Amino acid sequence: MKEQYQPKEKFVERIKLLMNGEDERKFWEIIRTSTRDSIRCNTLKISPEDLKKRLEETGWKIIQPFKDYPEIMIIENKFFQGELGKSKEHLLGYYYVQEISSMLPIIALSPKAGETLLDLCASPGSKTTQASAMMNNSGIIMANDNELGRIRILNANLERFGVTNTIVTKMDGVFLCSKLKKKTNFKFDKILVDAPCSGEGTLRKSPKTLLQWNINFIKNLSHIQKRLVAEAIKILKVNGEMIYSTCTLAPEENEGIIQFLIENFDVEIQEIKLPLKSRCGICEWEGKKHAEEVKRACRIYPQDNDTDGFFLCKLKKLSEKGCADIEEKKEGRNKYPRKEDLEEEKC
Amino acid sequence: MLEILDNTKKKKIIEQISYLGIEKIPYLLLKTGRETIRAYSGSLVRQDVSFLSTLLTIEGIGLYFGKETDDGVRLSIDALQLLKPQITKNRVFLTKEQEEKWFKGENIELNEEQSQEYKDMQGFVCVFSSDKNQDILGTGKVSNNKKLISNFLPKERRVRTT
Repeated sequence: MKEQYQPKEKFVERIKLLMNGEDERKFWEIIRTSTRDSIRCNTLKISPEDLKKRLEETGWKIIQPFKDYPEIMIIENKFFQGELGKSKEHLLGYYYVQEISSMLPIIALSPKAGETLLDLCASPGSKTTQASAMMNNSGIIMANDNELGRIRILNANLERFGVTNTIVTKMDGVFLCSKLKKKTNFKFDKILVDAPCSGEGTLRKSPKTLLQWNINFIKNLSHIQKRLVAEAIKILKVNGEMIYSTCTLAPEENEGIIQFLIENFDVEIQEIKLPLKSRCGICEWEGKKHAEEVKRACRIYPQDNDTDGFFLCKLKKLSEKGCADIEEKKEGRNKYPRKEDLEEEKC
Repeated sequence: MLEILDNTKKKKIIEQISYLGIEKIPYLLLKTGRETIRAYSGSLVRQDVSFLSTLLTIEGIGLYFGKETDDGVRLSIDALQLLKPQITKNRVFLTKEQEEKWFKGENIELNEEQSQEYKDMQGFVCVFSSDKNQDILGTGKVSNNKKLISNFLPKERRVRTT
């Protein structure tokens, strides 16, 4: 790691709190290395067997690490940066260059053909395209992001992947959800909130993240994340499932958000079966206790699987409790995240 | 502007791409802008799409299918891939060397043998690789007395040379 990207003292302290001695040593060791190259086969266009065969014929060395997910492939060759995106197969949309940990939210959400899915923070589209392939281009995917530049990238990736079942919207995520709630009866079977985050899990490919890192940034992000999940859960069907995920290790952005959902809505945290090693969600951070069920959330540490760091949690909505509209809130019949957020900020 | 094409308009589009042998488009077709056609396969019905388009800032529905031009409908590479099993006419197969040029965005000069083989073709064609995979490489247009295939591969699908 270059000198200018040395971690701040506070960050080092927090990692020490999250991991024990040997783990911590392995963490610092691995984040100084690059992640392995991995791709995901686009099963809308080609089978994993055919793609593997084609790429091997051009000299690629490929491992399919998970028997149940043959579309996930690790490339053993050492390519220059950006080289994976130059092959004919990539240009034709036969695969997506995607880090393995970022494939986990859709594996956990497991969208089925015919379902309705909201991908609230969708750009650049790795997870949207993964979902579309699992849904075989049926049902509905509403893929949202809030910035035109990011939407362009999202649209380009959806085109390249041959995705036909999406509606792409450019709106603030909170506003989109509240508008759908107020003006329509539209509710989703599944929702993915892959929230904007401080990116502590992606240090291996973006060590510059260490420069931007500061605790206020994390606290601000956690406010945004709470608002996003609070609005998203309202447009999830009862018995519908939501994945909340980030590529950060900061508990305020992870378990803190899950705890907030548990306190304000009728949700159940579900067990997730992942094809790689994960750690339990943590039940206490800086003196704040989380519910026992937060343990069912999954932390992916870079040193465990030679991936990026990641967090994901699957929630099932049990009832409409907490999802009342604005009028009810004004009458004090519902808690709203802002109040709790502000209290937390004071602490 | 978002217009959902009714059956009559959809039939017209199918007629305009019959040069490829296509007879069916199993998608809802929409027009966004004056020329752009998109194909949607999701389970929203016509009325839902109309309603949502008035409510939300929609930046895309389904897949970019093609463009209406003075020479007919020019299909996108992804639309061609979706409809591959139906494409039986106006097929042009490139050699390995031509394919490399194609991915750089260059127009393709046909050799004598190809000019002869494709002498009856005109207008838009579907460009294939000639290897065993027969990948669809996009839409081209026959011009210059059947000696040249103009390349319509979009920039973002070309090999970056720098």
